[in-house]
Amino acid sequence: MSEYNVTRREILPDVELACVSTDKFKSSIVGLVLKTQLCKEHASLNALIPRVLLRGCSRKPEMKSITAELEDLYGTSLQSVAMTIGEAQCILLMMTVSDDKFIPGETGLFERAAAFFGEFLTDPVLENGLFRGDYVNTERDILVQEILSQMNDRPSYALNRLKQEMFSGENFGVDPLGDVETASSITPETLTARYRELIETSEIKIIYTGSESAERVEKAFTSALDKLPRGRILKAVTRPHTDTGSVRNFEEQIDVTQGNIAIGFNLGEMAERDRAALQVMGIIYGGTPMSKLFKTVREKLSLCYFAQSMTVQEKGVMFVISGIDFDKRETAQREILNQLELMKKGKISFIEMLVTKKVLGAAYSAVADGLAMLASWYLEQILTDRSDSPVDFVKKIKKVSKNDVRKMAKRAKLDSVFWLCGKEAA
Amino acid sequence: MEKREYTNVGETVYYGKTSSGLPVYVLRKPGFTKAYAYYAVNYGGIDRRFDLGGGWIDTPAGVAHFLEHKMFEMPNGKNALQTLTAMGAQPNAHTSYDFTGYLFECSGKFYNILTSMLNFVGTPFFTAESVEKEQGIIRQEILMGENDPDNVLDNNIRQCLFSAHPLKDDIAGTVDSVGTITPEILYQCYNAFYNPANMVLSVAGDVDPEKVFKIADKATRKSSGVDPVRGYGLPEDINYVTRETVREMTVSPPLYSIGAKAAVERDIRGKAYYRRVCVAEVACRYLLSSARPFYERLYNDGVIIGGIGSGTNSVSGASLLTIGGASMEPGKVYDEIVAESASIAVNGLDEAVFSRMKKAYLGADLRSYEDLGGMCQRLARGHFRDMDYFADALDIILDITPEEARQFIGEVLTPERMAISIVRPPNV
Repeated sequence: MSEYNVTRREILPDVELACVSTDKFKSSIVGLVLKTQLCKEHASLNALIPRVLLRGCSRKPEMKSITAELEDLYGTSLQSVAMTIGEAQCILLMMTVSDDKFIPGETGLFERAAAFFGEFLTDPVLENGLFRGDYVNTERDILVQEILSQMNDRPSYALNRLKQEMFSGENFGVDPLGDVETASSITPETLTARYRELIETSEIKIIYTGSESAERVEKAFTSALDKLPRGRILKAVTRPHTDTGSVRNFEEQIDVTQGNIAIGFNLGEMAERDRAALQVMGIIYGGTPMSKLFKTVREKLSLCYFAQSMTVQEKGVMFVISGIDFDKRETAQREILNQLELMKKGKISFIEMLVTKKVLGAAYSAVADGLAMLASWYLEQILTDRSDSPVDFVKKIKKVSKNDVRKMAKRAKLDSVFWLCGKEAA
Repeated sequence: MEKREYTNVGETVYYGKTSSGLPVYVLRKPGFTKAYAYYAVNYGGIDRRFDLGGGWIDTPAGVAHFLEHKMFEMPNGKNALQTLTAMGAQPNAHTSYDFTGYLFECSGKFYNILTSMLNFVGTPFFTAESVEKEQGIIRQEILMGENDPDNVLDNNIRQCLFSAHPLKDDIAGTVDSVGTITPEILYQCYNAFYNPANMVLSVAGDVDPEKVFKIADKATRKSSGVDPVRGYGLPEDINYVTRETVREMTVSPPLYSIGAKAAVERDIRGKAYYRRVCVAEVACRYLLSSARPFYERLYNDGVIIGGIGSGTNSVSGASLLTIGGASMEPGKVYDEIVAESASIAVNGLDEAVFSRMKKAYLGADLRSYEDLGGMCQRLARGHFRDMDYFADALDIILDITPEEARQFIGEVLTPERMAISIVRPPNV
């Protein structure tokens, strides 16, 4: 017996609503995503739009009045995130709201919150038909600083730089926040124009997770979004990576005392059925304390504190990242590649297979325990046109054989290496 | 075990003490797939100096954290982190300034995994070779921190505020201090602090409290050790030590952490402790609330970039609050906060804003009960602090008055107590 029900419906043209109804929690989460093509030209504009939208709607045009309204809605929170799935840029507006059935004397809280949510998207505060100049300028400057500040987190900066270089000329190399140059040139005119285009042409996916009935949610959102203009939908497409035929090495020196090595592998175009095997392979390689990279690069050779791998099914790629001493780069890289070679030769133990499936099984079975986990699972399902429950996916994981993992590892071809190091290391 | 029903938050907790003296808490959550366990030692980064009856013993910075890493190594050559992972658990451990915690979450085999965790934390095994290997790993962990601007900001603000208290140093120690750690030091500290009476086990999930208790009773032995007396150096002055530090690093934009020394008393416990923490948090939230013109002005003028965060840290003999973010003019943020605090201290708080903000703070506290891993930690922390969060936290929050927040702001957010740590790129 399932602890929750999932219903999916198109409530407006190309606006899909998925309702995950469960009585387990005392609040609910609503996420609305505008899904569009990731590209250099639009990435910063798309990332800036929700930030400016959340600065004000016509009814509540200022920060103070918005905060007051949200506090009156019992601490309802609103936030926005820009992320990517393959080469789709997903602009997420998210709301967390308490269930009115737990608040004595309160009814209609969800409807009021949903209506307020809708106002931000469809009825922004405008001046002469444009976003307010002061809001655009402030939020644009913050976005620029945020892109620049990505270098403050060294491992993730090394990974970002690897992606930029490895996928230069491909949309996958574009950051979900875009780039400084494009972001700096945004004006109220260009942003307003892109906003109108985005809400008309992007696919819209809404996830609701909480205890309200699907009917109540559907009604609230159909009404909250009735002013939303819809036009011809432009679907995002992810293209496979272009192999250059040789291994490329990149290096950047900044003022640091520890190096970070980021390695990119190309596995080629992936079918949906490859998803489970890719995940199992990635976890055996560098995803847990039982993984090959943890056991050798960290525990056996004491080269690092962390050595992790991550995989992206949509693009058919895998990355490894590790922080090491400057003079250990060769040793570390050799061992990281050596561990992959072992997997290609089928050196994958029964225990490794078992543990990895257990870890993934446990993680996915527990998705239903958390409101945010549940929301994010089903959001990912509707964004990637899948309809697996966590339990369905665990079944697919269980079916992955050692041979599937070996075959998947064999597809991994070393593509690019990015070395972030100190000036003294050169 | 004793059953404690908390009708105010709709939760039920079982409590008991094993024959070895280990306190055990079980938060029963029927219907949850996952179960969580948290096994904590009242021993953290600040507990470097102690007396077991034969005079003061000084140990290098970073031993508590080093021990946490080394506990996973077993005499049979196995690594407990891997053993627990192999059983389907997601294990982890962390060391804070005042305690060390070992934890896991799992969806099955809970009792086996729990037994395994209690056993490995109860089995010290350190050799010269394994200590040397760990020094290599921790060296990389420390270097990672030294290259992380947020970590540098945080270390520097504590250095600005405290002169003798070990809260001023990094929990992990330094590459040098960690290099002096030996198996003997590890055994000495383990024996001094890893006693059941100085530890706590908290569990949350759809589990049987009596079964948890029996396992804990069987797996822990009463220790003959005495309770160590802890030394934190000379008592701290309430004023800052250095008003400002600036560190140049490759960052963009400049980052700042403004800190204020909140209190220097030792051993504040129970409701008084929690009330103090809440007043500090509520006061900071009020000061920086986006419902107030102060925040909106700093945001719109670009003085703060993107936002501003605050936090508190309170241990025996030292407590501070920090306000941090990114700014092209960190010094201006400092001046603005000093001026605004002075004005609040004189004019009082806007009661409507205050009560709305408290409502949201309360809502967030209520929602936090859905995070079972967090609840385990809350039970453990509460035990060490003699604070029953489930019974008293909501009432304390509700009870805080604008006048209390005003007094706090007027007393603590003053130039004598405040310092600023800045990390900025070389060319700014």
